[in-house]
Formats: sequence, structure tokens, C-alpha cells
Amino acid sequence: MDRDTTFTVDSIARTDGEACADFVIDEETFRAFYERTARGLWAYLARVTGDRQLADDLLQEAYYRFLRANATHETETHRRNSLYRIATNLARDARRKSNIRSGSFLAGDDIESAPSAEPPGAAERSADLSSAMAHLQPRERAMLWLAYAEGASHREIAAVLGLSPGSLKPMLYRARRRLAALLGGARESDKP
Amino acid sequence: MTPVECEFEAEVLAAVLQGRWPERTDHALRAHVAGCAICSDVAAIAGVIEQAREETSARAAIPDSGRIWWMAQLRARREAIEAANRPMTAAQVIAFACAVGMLATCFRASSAWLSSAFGRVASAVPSLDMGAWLAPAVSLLGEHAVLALAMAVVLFLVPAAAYLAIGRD
Repeated sequence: MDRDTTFTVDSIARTDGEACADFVIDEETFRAFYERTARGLWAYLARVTGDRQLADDLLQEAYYRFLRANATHETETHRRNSLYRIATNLARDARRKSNIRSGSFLAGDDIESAPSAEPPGAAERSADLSSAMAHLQPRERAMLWLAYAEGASHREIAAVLGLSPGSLKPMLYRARRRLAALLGGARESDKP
Repeated sequence: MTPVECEFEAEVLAAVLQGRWPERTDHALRAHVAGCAICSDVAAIAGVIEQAREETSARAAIPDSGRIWWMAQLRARREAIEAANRPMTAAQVIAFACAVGMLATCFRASSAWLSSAFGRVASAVPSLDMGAWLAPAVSLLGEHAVLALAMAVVLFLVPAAAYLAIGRD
């Protein structure tokens, strides 16, 4: 969205006095937090759901529920984990509602269809990853993405996914093994 | 029992994410990765996922933060209004239920004189004597004026309450 539109939206919000809801977080803090997290969260949702449009919808819903929760967070990491947990639950609910099997839910084609200016070979690697991740369970995709794209610790991943830290390690190990095997298989099949 | 984590895992991950893997990594770590299933998996997938993260984030067309904030404000306000109206709607539904109950009670209480009234009307119709029909009706209304008034009120209350309770939602 361009700056003109932003200005208009802000003006409406400020002139409509009744439109002020009570959130624990103030507008300035929220906007700074959003700028820091929105792209990463969208990428997470897009990879977990495999659907750009759904990721758009879930992104907005996640921030709204985050605001409505009116929770206070000690640190930026706690705040971020809370947001990701909300987003993870939304993605899970969306998957249940869609009643689509996990494999077809993350086809990955939708993500790869967007135009980009990638260097040669990058598109193939990205397509390999999408194809490989389509064979994983949604929770496996989520934990791998959180671990290796978001750099989250085991404790943070467990908190976001609602798992115990003790059970996460073997699950992450198995997911990593499967993905590595799938990526290895994809590369082998690419060789002439 | 198969080990599920390795003490060098974080070091391998850091090397991959910092672009040092494998050329600018010391020989000992490379040798470890070659013989460690956990670290070799980390080395294999971390770089690919990190690259995918950068590409996917770059493609993200996220809405402006001001728009998200504004829409959240409006939605929160709408939901607050709906929450405030909920007890009123509940009261209206209860009023509707009371009206229906009252109507049923009145009907049950008056069924005896209603049947006698219908009988009188039926006997009066063949003769078409309006005087014979009106006199008992007026007499009945006079005897049960309170009941008739209550029924009339209920007949007006029920549709009004139903409209208020259901129409608003």
C-alpha cells in the first residue's frame, strides 16, 4: 500500500473518535512490531498453508487476535512467540475447515507461481523445497520453518506449537531427516 | 537409542546461515559433519530453508500497518457493540417466550367458553339472525373482558417481541 492511502486511512481513524478501541499496546508500538514481524509471519503462513490468499487472510486475523488478546509481554521474543502461536492455531483451524488432506494443502505451487527476480538455480531449489515440504505433515513444516527460517530455539518452537520441549527434539529430528532425504532425492532426480 | 541432537548442530547452523559453509569452515567441523547424520541433515536443509525464507518474504505483499491497526479498531468496536447488545437480545427472547406462554395459558383457560361460543355461533349462522349472534358475543366479551384484553395485548406483543428479538440479529 502506498503512503497516500496510508495517510487517508490514518486520517479516518483519527477523526473518528468512536473508532478507538482499548488495546494494551499503543498504535506506535504496534506498527513498529508489525513492521518487524509481518513479512516473516506471512512467509511462515504461506509455507505452512501453501496458499498465498489464505496467508493474506490469516495474517490480518492473527494480528487482530493478537491485539484483542490484550496480553502484556515481558520481551519482544514473548510477544513474537505469542503472535506466532496465534497464527499457528489459525492455520490449523483453516486446515481443519478446508477438509483437505495435508499433502494437497501445501502443494507449494501457489507460492512458486508469484513473480520474482531470483538468480539462476534459486527457483529450482525453492521449487525442490516446496515439493519436498508438501510431503511433510503441517506440524513438521511449521517446526522446520521456525527452527531454520526463524531461528527459534527448541523452547520457543515448543511454545508456539503447543508441544513439550522434551517431545519436540525427536519430532524435529524426524522431520529434518525426512526433509533432508526428500531434498536429496529431488537433487538426485535432477541429475542428468 | 538413536541420538536426536548433536553438540555441533548450532555451530553448523551458524556456519550455513552466515554463508561460511562449507568452504570457510574449519576442517574439523567439516569432518564431523561428514560423519554425523544430524549435522549433515542440518547442513543440507538449513541453507535451502533460509534462502526460501528470503525469497518468500521478499514476495510478501503485506498490508500497511496503519490499515491493520485501523481495521482492528473498527472490528473491536463493532464486536464491543454486539457484546453490549447481547443481554438486551436475551431479554427480548425471554419476553417473547413469556408472551407465548401467556397466550397458551389464556387459550387453555378459555377453551371451555370458546367452544361454547363457537357452538352458539354455529347455531346462529343458519338462521342468519344477527341479533341472536351479537347478543351472546357481547355477553361473552362482557363476562371475560379482562381475558379478552390480555389476549389482544399478547397478540400485539408477540409479533413486536419477535421482530425486536430476531429482526435486529
